[in-house]
Amino acid sequence: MNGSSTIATIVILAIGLSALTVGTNGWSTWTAEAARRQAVVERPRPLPAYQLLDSRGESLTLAQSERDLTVVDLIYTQCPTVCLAMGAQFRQLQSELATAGLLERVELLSVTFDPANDDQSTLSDYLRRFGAVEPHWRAARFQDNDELAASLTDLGVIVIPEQSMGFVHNAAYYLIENGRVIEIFDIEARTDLFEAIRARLAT
Amino acid sequence: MTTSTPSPLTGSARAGILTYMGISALVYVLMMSLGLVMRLTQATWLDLPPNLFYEVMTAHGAGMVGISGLAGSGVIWYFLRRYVDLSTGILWANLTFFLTGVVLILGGIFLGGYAGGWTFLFPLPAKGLGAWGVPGAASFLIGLLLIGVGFLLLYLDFARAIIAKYGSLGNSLGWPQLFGGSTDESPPAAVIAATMVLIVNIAGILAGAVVLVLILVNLFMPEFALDPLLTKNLTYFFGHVFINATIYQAVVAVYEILPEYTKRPWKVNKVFLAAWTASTVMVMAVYPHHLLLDFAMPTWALVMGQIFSYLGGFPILVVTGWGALTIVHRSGIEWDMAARLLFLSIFGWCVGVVPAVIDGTIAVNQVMHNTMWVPGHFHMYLIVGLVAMLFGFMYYLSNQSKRTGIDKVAFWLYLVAGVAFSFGFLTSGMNSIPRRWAVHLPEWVSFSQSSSAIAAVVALAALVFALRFLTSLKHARTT
Amino acid sequence: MSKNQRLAAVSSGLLILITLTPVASQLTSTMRGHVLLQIPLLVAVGIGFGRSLAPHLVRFLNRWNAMGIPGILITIFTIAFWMIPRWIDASLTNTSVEWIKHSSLVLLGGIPLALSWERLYPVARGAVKIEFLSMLFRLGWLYLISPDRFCNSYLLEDQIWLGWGMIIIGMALTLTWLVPVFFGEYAPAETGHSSPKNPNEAPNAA
Ligand code: HEM
Ligand SMILES: [Cu+2]
Repeated sequence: MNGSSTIATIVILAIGLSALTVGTNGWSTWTAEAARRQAVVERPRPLPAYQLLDSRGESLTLAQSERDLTVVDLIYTQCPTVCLAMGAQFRQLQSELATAGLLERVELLSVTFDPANDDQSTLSDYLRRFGAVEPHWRAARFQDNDELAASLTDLGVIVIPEQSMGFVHNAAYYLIENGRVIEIFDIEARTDLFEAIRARLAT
Repeated sequence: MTTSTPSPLTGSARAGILTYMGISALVYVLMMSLGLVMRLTQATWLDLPPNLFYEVMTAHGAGMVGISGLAGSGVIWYFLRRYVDLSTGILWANLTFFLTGVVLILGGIFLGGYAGGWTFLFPLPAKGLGAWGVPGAASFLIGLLLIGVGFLLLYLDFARAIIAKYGSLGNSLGWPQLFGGSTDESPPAAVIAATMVLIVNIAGILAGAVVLVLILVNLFMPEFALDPLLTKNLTYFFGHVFINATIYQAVVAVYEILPEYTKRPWKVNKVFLAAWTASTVMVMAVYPHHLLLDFAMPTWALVMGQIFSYLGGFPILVVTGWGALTIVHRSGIEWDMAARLLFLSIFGWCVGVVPAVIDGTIAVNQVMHNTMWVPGHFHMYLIVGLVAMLFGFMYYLSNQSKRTGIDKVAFWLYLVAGVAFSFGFLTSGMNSIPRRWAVHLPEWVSFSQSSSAIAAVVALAALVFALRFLTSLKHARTT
Repeated sequence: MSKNQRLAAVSSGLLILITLTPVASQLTSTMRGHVLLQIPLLVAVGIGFGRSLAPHLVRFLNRWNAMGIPGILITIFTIAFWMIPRWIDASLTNTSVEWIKHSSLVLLGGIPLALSWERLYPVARGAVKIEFLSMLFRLGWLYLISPDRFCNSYLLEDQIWLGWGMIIIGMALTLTWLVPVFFGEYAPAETGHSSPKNPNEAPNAA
């Protein structure tokens, strides 16, 4: 191989390997979902002060809360799959928090991304179905569709309408502190979520 | 056809072949010593902690299989280059990959503590239970992967050179003569064997490249749950094909050296062609149906697989054994070291297949499986068959074949002790002693003790062969 | 129009068709269309452009591309990058990533491939083919067994489709490549390696 080609090979190897390394955050992040969660932890993002309305007609915003921590999950009440699981997990979390005496300090919030179907009364039904203890666990909807869309994009949530099943969406729990998402948890990771809450509130 | 016209072997090609065979000679002796260490441990004469025993077992298995691949490819390269135009650069590239892989494998075993056996059966690599962690297993697997890449390049070079000369692999397997009624001269035996080996080994390496990377993915990201049965099949396809192919490479020494000695051509007739094609097809055709359809492996598939994987080698064994007998019969051949060892190797190969076929019979297999019977049959075939063949080639290559005295003594010791050592395993198997146990029950210890003494003799005889080769490199052939 | 110009025109047409017309969103509406059609088509466009480059440009580039090694490396890295699910997803949600994808697959995926393939030593060509096949089988297998979706924009069902698609394409390619190896009659050249088809090949690149 001649000199210029050897140089070219070395440069290409260096650039190529760096591109793959950077593109996967050092061989660790292969999917958009993982990237999104990692980015949130590294750079907590402030949430915009969009207005939401809960099932009892009270208005609230993700940007502020009276409590120390908020856990949000994004759902739609007709969901036959993932949201059911999340609902059940939230119920578990609610009782774990109650047992630990932390329920007063944490707000559980289920936000619908299907405001066309989920009105105030549907959301109340949803809460009752899962045995939510209000006002610790609330359910709310965006009032403005553009704000909903913007928030979903902000959080990296992608909702795909599907014929038979309503919506397919990447589900997760968002842990919020002072109006910033500080960590995202897998829907199977309730225990980790609980431990994280406990650790935060202990300090 | 044909006795080959030796072509000059000089410069880096000669250095390459001598390095291949020199490293092989050394490693065989070394690995035999590790085998002896295992036997001594089972004999309670050596006090090796069990995890070290399994590390040694992993190193012995991986080392023996790997070095047999290297030595076999050296033999076939040496003869194939008499017919086609091989690349010396690739010969060295393979060696470089091989040695790098060996470093990673040894590091994975002795530093990383990996002791899951050379067959790295999934999910064992991921389940070190504290004996080894991800780094050890990963290093071992990446080492295997690198060795695979090296051999892939070598066999692709065989393919390139053979196709350049013969037009297609069909031609170089002699299909026009076999099926098309062509009366042209058949390709020489070395080319036919090389074609078979490159086909099955490239397929095996492809399977290995897929499965090794996925096991690595699983090591780091356990949520990707591989199907264990599919993984096992691919792993076995890779490993079985590779170790089986070593003797199909080494056997070219028989096809080339015996004709040279007897001044009679090695006859490549239709039976010979059919045997090689049949074995190629059997190895290739048996496995895919396991891999794709039988996720739950019905019994008939197991039976077929067992039988085919043993019978797959049968046709070649028969034509080789028959060919060797006829070529030697009343030829007035001079029984020098190379001739002796090559002839012994065919005997060892035949004898080694018998217990294999017995084991392949299901009724027996249910009893014998995972007993010492299994290492019994493959040690017979490997020590008295394959390794004898390779040392035979080394005597030929080093021009030391006419030696008598200590070499002749070593030959007889190797023969007798090699057979006796393998019988030691076989009788242990008949007494239901399990394989892969570091610590044996007291009533088994006497088997291991006698075997240890015999194993020492095998290793010593091999040491004589190896030293003879290593001390006469400068006299080695230049053609 | 010369042959080169015709090829360039066809490639440009194809490029416009798959990036600027509604066909674009059609292709990316499913994961299988995205990975098995759009990406290969973009590389094919690049190959078309690469084949129609002016000879003096090819001569210049060849000086940096001994035996085709640097070029094939560029192609391999580019394709590898666009196999990362994260970036497939990103190209759907972020227009600049989408444009980087389109241009890099054409410029860094296809063009170097066209300029390098014939110049590669046959062994290297074989190794690239084998690695490509094993990539298809590996990814296909991973897509089949993954419990989660790799891409937030696509359904799990679609991902399984893609897995089978990759495995089937891998097998079809294996057969296609094997047939000539077994039955084809390559012109038996006494000298061994295939003679370089590219007249610009430096005689002693090695
Ligand atoms: C002096 C010669 C040799 C001795 C003393 C020896 C000894 C042993 C012993 C004690 C075992 C373990 C048996 C068990 O408990 O399961 C073993 C396994 C094995 N040996 Fe040898 N061996 C020798 C030569 C060879 C040769 C020449 C080869 C191949 C070319 C070979 C390949 C293997 C393989 C593949 C295994 C299986 C390892 C496993 O179960 O993972 N051995 N050997
Ligand atoms: Cu849902």
